[in-house]
Amino acid sequence: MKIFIKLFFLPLLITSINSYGQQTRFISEGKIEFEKKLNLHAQMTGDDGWITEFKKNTPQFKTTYFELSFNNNKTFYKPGRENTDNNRLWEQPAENNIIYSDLDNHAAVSQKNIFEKTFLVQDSTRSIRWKITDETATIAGFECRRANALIMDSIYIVAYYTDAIETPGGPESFSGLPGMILKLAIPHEHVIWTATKLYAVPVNETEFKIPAKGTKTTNASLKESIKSSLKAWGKWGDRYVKAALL
Amino acid sequence: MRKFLFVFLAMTLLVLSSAEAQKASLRGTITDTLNKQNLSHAVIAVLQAKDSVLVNFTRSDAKGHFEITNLPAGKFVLLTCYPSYADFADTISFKENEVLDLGMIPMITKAHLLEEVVVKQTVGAIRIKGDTIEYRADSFKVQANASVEDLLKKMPGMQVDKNGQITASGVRVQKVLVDGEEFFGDDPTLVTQNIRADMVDKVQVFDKKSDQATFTGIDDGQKTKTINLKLKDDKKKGYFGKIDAGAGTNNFYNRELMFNKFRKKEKISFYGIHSNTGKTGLNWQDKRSFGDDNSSNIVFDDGGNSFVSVSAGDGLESWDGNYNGLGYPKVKTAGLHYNNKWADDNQSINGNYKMLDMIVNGKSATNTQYILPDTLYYNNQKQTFTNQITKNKGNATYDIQFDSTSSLKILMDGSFDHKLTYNEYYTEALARDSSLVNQGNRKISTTGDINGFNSSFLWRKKLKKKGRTISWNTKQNYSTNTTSGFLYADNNFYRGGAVVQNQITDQYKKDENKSLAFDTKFTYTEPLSKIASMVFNYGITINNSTSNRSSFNKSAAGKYEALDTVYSNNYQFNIFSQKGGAALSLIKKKYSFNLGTNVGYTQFVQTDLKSNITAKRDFVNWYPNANFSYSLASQSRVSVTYNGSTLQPSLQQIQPVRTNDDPLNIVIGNASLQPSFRNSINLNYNKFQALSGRSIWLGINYTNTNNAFATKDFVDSLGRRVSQSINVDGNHNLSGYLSYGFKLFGANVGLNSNINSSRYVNVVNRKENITYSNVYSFGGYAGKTVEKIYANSISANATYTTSTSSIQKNVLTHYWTYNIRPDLDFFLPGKFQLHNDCDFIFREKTSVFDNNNNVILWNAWFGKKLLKGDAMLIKLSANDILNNNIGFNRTVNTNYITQNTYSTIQRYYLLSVVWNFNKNGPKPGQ
Repeated sequence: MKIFIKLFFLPLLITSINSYGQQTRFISEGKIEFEKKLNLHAQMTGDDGWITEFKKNTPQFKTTYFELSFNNNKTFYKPGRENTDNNRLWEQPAENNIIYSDLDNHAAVSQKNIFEKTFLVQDSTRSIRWKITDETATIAGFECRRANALIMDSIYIVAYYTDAIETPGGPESFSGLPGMILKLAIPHEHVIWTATKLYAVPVNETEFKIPAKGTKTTNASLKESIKSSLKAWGKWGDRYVKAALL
Repeated sequence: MRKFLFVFLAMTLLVLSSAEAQKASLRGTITDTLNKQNLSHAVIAVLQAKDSVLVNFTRSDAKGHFEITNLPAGKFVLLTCYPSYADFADTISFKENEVLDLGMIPMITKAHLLEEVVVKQTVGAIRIKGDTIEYRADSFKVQANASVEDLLKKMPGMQVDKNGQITASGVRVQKVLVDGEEFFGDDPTLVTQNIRADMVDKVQVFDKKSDQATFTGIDDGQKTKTINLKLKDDKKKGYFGKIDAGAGTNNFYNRELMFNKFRKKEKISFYGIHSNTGKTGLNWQDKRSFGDDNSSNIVFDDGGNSFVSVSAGDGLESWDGNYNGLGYPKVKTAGLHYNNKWADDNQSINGNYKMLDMIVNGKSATNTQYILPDTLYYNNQKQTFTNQITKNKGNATYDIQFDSTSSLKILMDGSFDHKLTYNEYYTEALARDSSLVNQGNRKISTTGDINGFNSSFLWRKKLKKKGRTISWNTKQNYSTNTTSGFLYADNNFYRGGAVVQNQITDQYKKDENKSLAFDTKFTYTEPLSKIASMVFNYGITINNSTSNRSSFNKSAAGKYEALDTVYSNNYQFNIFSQKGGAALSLIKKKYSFNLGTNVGYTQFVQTDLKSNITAKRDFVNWYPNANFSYSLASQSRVSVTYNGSTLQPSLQQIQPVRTNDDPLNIVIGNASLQPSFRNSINLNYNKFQALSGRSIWLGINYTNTNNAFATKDFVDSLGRRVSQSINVDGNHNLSGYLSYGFKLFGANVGLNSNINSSRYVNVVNRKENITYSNVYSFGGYAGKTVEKIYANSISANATYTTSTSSIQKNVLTHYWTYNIRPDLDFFLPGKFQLHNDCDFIFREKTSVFDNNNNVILWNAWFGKKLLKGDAMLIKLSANDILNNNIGFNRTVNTNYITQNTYSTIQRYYLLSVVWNFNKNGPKPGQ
């Protein structure tokens, strides 16, 4: 509690009040471009010559783009514009996800390419115990509040959301905050999604093409099947299992 | 604006523990008290009082009203937010079934307070590098386990407010990076990992230009105040090592010592091996820990793929290095390795020194069938050998990264080898009817010194435009090889069972070879678009070599003084070439494409240094290449590669002198030998399914060579052979492999097949001979590992070899070879381990080679791990339990087929103790 609560009853603010008030615009439909940055160097731990050479010849970050369209409580997330720099890089598992989320009904359909297979995960939206903080940051021009959480028992995530967007969604499978998540970081997995642009355009729900391709599964059985296939892969196997389930 | 109210009931599930009845509800109205206006769309969130976890939230309706139902009983924080308004937070608590009406909740707009900045000066702890202010973290005292924020608070010019917001020089810091990556302070209630103040080495504060500005190099004036925390190098310091001591029956021994000491990024290690079991150097795992990890061999291609070009060894590891199974070796070898990095890893040095002392002795027997146009010869040879080599080799690499755009790499290596050989031969040649053609004894002893010094530097620079690069690579190689020795050969030649001729060669020989080469090359890459680029290169190569070969016959006085001009020559071969070209490369997500050629002008200057006669020859050489690679689906790719290359003849092939090291096999150089040109086409397809474990690898290669180097043999009626290198056309080779891997009952199973079909041309007794050889191989593999219980595998393959020569089509060579290799490891209770591997080799007899060459080579060991962390292993091993091993080699060449058997290590038992020790180092076995 102690950390919280500050009310600035400062009389000198009165002058500026007229410019705010009820004119604040709330957004309930539009498109957001997310930039995903994966730190390739941080995945390579250790200090021998091989790793040094790898780092010299590979960019530190792999940047990919996604587009999140939203209309009230429905969101549609899909790969965005192409980054030709990535033509030289390996494709990572589950990095081209297409996700349709119906936030009111807590339902999500995700299409994920994991190695040679395409999976269609039909499951409930991820329920996350968000811890709200009083830290703020401006992202893509929006004032955002920070919330932290642990998902999948051990993965620490940090989200910044704005209450100026009414849709309580976010990139990938992240949602459940009182506003749109504009930045999401998984610091120990070295990956960040940041909103770079917001288009406040009308979005028709018919634009949301609910993915239908792939082997039908649920999150629990997807985890089982990938885990058993990759059990001999050591720490990379664990990393791929995590990446596939985000 | 929509009238929307969303209530998240799901969240209430998470707080089931705190209450049974869930009927409490909350209502109120959000209002702007100053503006006397109710606020719609405001967020009203209910958080758990104890840890701020979000329980439920809603938004106020058009009239500013809100209601949240189904709340559990307990203590909560109500947080009300509205853009541009100050947050309102209050503690509330519900009893069961309570309906709490909060009435009006007042909200007020907020403004930003510009806090005053106090700048103090602390000398020494702060450095200013260009636009960057750098603080040394050690200079600021903080409590043990203090957070990074605590550290920043101590730094002059820096302020951290209670929200964690950092202000530097009065400007709000918008980005905090850790080693270049965006930093989010960890929530200590959720994660234990955290960056502590004592982990930070330096704090850098700078104005980060926009990505666009960094990209284009044009400053657009947009700057972000950024802090970069540079973490300290791992505070690691320690050592680890391994001692392996083994003694066995028949005087077998194997002793190894390895030690590695590390401190931050500095590593110093050494190893020593003393063994007669065939071990001559570090194995692959030990090499990474105790030797040079060969990282300079990693090659990255344009597609971002990395390849490891594992060189055939640095010389120390083949006979002229490694013991390859021929004879009985005694080895002493040692190495020293040092590497270090400094200046933020922008400079590094890597140095190695190795020495090897090896004595190998043994016996071998060689049987050869020569096919001639009109007859056949059978040649039998017995050899006894004692060879000794002492090698010293040192190398060093220095790498410097000047800035993010340019780097320089300097490599140097030098070696000194001293070699002594002694060989005795008994030879006999039989005609088709088994009558004796010739018979002889020969002894050769040599002493040789081989020295070399090589260096290279590579400078690379990225220019301002993305993808535009320039590089300059220069190499130098210098080597000398001086060998002297005695040859004594006594041969009798028979006709009809009677000696018709006796030939004695008794000579002292001295050969001196020197070579000096320079190679320099400029490469420039110009991006044409985001996906296409052109690469231009130009280079010059100079390669000057001389070979002075002298043979002296023994005089009547018993001295080797009279120069035998037939077998002596002093020759210089200088090659000058310049080469330039361009290549276009295109990389798309689905495919990549590469096409280009180099063209070269090469000049040979060949001088007989005794007669001073010089011959000059000019060549225009082409080096075309093309590559197309297409990805059919994820993890599946097909590629086609074409490569055309020019091979220059060696001085040994060119020098016009007769070499009589074996007077029955005289080799003559060919001064008019031309470069050969090889076309090679590869087709590859591979598919790897990670989840199902299925894989397919297919490769087809076709090579044809124009002006290929081949031999022209002449064998006379007394069985003496004279051969010379010549150029021939029409050599080609087709090879293919196919392998399929899958999972079956939890085991990895694989099937594979290889085929190789070739057509080689040579000249035998003035007749063109075309040899068709085919090798077909089929095999399979199965392996299963159950962790801590067993790791078993078996592989088997069958190979069929055929060969025919056009000069005697009725002589057919064909035989099968079978190989079965089980490899079994059992991990028994009590940390015992039992290992068995076996090699069943069955070689079909042929009409020429009718002796039994089947071998069952069975090795095993039994061991127990002891001590904490399994640091010690006591092991009893048995090599070749059935005492069945024979050295064996069978080769089919153009018009001759050779089988070679030799003495090799057979049965012995060895008891050894392996101890892995370490302090703060990696765990044994990792």
